[in-house]
Amino acid sequence: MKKRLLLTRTKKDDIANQYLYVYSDEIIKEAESRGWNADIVEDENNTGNEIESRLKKTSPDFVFFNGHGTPASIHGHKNDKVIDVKSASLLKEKVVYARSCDALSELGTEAVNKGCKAFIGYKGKFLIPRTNEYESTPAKDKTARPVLQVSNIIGKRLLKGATVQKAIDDTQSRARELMLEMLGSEEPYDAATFKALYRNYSLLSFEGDARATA
Amino acid sequence: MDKAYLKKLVIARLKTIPPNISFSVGSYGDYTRDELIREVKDESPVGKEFTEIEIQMLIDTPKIVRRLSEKAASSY
Repeated sequence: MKKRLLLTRTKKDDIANQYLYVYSDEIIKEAESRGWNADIVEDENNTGNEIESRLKKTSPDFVFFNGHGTPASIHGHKNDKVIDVKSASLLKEKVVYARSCDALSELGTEAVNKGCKAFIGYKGKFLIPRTNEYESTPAKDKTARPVLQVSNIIGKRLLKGATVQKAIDDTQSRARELMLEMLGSEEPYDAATFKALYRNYSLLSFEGDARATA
Repeated sequence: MDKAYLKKLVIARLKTIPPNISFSVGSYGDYTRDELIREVKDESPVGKEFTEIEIQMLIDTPKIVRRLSEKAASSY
């Protein structure tokens, strides 16, 4: 039976969401190429009611959230709360990656308490550096690209069957490699990329079972 | 390290970033380099966040460099 991915994203709300939207394409392609059934919930559909309904009906193995977060919640279209500590039981028996600010601390803990296999996320603000001229063409933005591609490694490894711990280790290892390269770089834009890589890499962690697979 | 010097240090490091760079800082919103400098001067929540990042980076950079030197040594 095909494994199921549920991925949420929103293009229209703000620049940060637009960047997350564009770089999520890599995850969708990876899922399809590996034979996963990819259920993409985006824009006007990315609301609390819709996510609750899909989580119940399709029972995904892996949930990849993109969007703004708080310690206790993740938000979708027009800042609608798509999941929070009260609805965390919906994540039972799933592996979750929240590419959102802060959500690991309370939501991640509560989700695991309610039976989520593992919840990967950030213990603070997820930074996206960008070059202003590429605001409307994020895929061409060399300042943002390494940061978002590194954050995609988690999703790609989990889709390939890696454990949560392996997905995190590979992500942090690639972040360290890039930071080492950038320390010797004469490119001034790398200073912004370095800061974001450093910050996100420091905040990345998980709750739950390190040996879990999606 | 006194507060005034800390602020000066963080601002100097932010000025090494080109002015056409912005950061999306989650729910705080989007900030250009010069807006971030103002936030640091004003000691706003986002200014404090970037101050913490810069200081932590300064503390951790020797660890990153150590890895670089270990990597270089193993390739000789």
